[in-house]
Amino acid sequence: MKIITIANQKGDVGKTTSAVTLAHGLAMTEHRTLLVDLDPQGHVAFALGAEKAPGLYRLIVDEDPIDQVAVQARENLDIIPGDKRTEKAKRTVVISNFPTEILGRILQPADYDVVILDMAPSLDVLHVSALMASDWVIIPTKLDAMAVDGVNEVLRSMGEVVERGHRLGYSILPTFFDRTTRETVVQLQALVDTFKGHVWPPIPQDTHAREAPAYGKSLWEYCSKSPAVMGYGTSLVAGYASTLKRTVEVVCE
Amino acid sequence: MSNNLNRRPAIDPAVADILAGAERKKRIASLPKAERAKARKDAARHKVGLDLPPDLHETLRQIANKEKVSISSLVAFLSQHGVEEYRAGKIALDPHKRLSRCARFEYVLMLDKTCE
Repeated sequence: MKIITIANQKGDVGKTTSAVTLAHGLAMTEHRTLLVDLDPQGHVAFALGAEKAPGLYRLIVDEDPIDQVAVQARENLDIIPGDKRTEKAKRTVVISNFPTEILGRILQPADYDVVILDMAPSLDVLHVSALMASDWVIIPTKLDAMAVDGVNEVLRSMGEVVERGHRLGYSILPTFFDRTTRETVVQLQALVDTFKGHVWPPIPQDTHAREAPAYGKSLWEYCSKSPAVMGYGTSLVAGYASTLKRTVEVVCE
Repeated sequence: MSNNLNRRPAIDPAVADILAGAERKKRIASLPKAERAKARKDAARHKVGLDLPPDLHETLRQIANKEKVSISSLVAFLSQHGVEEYRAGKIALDPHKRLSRCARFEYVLMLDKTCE
């Protein structure tokens, strides 16, 4: 089982959209997938047309087993939904004996091929616990200076985790790629100059990605031919289809 | 130690492709306005280099002049018709095949000497 965390402390960079799209994509490619919402906004359930629920709270505070808390959202795709009680769960984590190991301990018995953790835009104990449990981190980032700074913050947290002897790989996923603005390209070039092969092909800015959650559909269901999925025009080199291929490589490594 | 080592690319090839495209657009944007349209058109063109016998090239040039079209569009037009006839089984390549001395290909196609 591979655990992949989607993280960036900066908000509104496409974490939940990426988590939902990749989780459903993995499920469609026959990987039994669990998507865990660690954000008190509870948008994972919303994006897949399910009800928000205190899933993470039940796992951490009530210590209910995963199979009782997980909700089937699609074929091969279960979710642990979240809601505002996730915030209370965090307080329980803080006062627990081994706060940074709690998620790893909870997820260890899960019977899935892949677990995807959708993080809240913050750097708290749950965040560190998720990194400690993970094999790989995908860091979505908008191509602006502040969001790219968020990438550095996640990498610093990962550095602390690696210092504790945990092996952790990562990829940076540029989102909201707008090929018409020079700043986007400048920031992409800066990311590539710094992080080289860790940078995955970008996700084009696309209104479909904003519309799909309103219908409770993933992008594969709502518009599988959209630029966000297939990339721009004839180049077809970016988009979630190419991100999914790379994520499958990570899962099968 | 295995000799079959594949060095991982420093940059994801798809990302490199996107950056190359952006660099091309930036270069075009820096050109004087009068040259930009031609540069964009050139960038959008799909250019290929193929070997043609000189006498066939000359024949194509003469037909293109006569019909007042470009050689490229004439070759594209005739090639498309040729491909359709090949697919329909109206053109057989086997009678024109000769063994090739080039290691990359098994055969070479002999062209008819009369082009006109």
